[in-house]
Amino acid sequence: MTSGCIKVITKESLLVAQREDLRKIMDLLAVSEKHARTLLIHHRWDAERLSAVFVEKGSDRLFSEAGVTVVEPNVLAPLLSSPVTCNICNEDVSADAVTTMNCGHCFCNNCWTDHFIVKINDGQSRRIRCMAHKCNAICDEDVIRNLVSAKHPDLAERFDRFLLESYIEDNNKVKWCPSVPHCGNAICVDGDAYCEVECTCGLQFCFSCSAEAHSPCSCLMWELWVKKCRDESVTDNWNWIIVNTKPCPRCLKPVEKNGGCNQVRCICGQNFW
Amino acid sequence: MLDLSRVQKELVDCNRDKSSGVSIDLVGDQLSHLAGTISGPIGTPYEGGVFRIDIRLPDGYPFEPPKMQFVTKVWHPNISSQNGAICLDILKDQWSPALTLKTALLSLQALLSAPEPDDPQDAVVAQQYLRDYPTFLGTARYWTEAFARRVSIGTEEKVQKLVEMGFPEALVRTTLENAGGDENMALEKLCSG
Repeated sequence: MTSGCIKVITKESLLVAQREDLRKIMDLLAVSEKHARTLLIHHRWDAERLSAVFVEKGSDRLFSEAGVTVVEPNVLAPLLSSPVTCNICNEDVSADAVTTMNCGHCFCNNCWTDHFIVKINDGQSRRIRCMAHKCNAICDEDVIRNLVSAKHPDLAERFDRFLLESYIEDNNKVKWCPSVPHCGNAICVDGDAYCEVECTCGLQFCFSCSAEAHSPCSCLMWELWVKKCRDESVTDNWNWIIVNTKPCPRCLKPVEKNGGCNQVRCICGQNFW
Repeated sequence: MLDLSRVQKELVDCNRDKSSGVSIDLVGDQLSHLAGTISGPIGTPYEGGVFRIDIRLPDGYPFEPPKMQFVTKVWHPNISSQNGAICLDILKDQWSPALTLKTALLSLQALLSAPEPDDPQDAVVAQQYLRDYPTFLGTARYWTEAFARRVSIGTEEKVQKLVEMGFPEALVRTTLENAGGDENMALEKLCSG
């Protein structure tokens, strides 16, 4: 069993750990914190890969692929003086009740807010795209925070928490400690992901599949074994999960198809059939 | 939260433009349940057919995509031949609130013109499309002929036949309509109560 550099991230050190990576990118590209965050989320907090893409493709490509538009919005704002028709709700609204995103698309504040609320409730708040069709731009987190907090302060708080936890959720090198009840910690592994780690709460687990430590048995074999043991002591809940869900091939969470075609998208972003 | 005024406006706008080949109707008295129709694109095996699509609007519409499903049976790699489920990106994660029901129906029409067999919903149809295109064309044409002909043609005959079997006429008419004029599907529905 090989193991890389293992670090425990507590609730308190999460912000610091995230800041460290953000700072690297802010210095490298001379961008603001929010843009650095959008870039890092797109590249799953892999600052090295992000730098490599920057060197290889240049900053324009790097920004456009991640949906970052570095334009000051006040360049666009003065153009609007008379009432504007919002293309989403078809209402005429005064110029001070609309917001132009960095990408240049302008819609009324009510529609933006509803859009953000749906995305936050959907668990997709870390990458909220502009409402215009085929626009790849990621919405400015300050705009989201301001608009949402005016209507739903609790959702704005959740939005901030999601952004913070992105460092764990969207990061191949970091995983939540699977302890129950949850100790609040996450583990960061720099190196081989196929290793067993120990959290400061005392729990030992497999970093690859988050199950209890099971070496030398492989993750797949362990999963089958656990399933078999569970099948023999079926509960209604577990039965329902077996019948109605499929594990996501990336994050292994059970995913229920809630309609539409057979292509399913897990909240972690993985598409599968 | 469903934006009723926007849906109403969309209905009026879509049905005003008769040349687009798509239309939207109310199913009951709820704006959240609609029925779309698209005509099969010219130069495709779907030409001459009229396809009915069940549309359900979630409360979050237009911030969440509409749920669409073919009611009329159709032989197409990206549409389930069993239940009409559609595999189209704009009905899922590529949906944008700036799109409308009309643009979504037009995209479905475009999907009929340009199947994407590499990203299939119905594996059997997709296999046939890739391996034996002439047979695919024949089957698709036959399905159009059998299930998607204009509902008005022969409807009276179908109604009469089903009424003779002992079903009340009003029920027969609505069931037939909901089944997109498919006599067998209507019979199945009538029998299952």
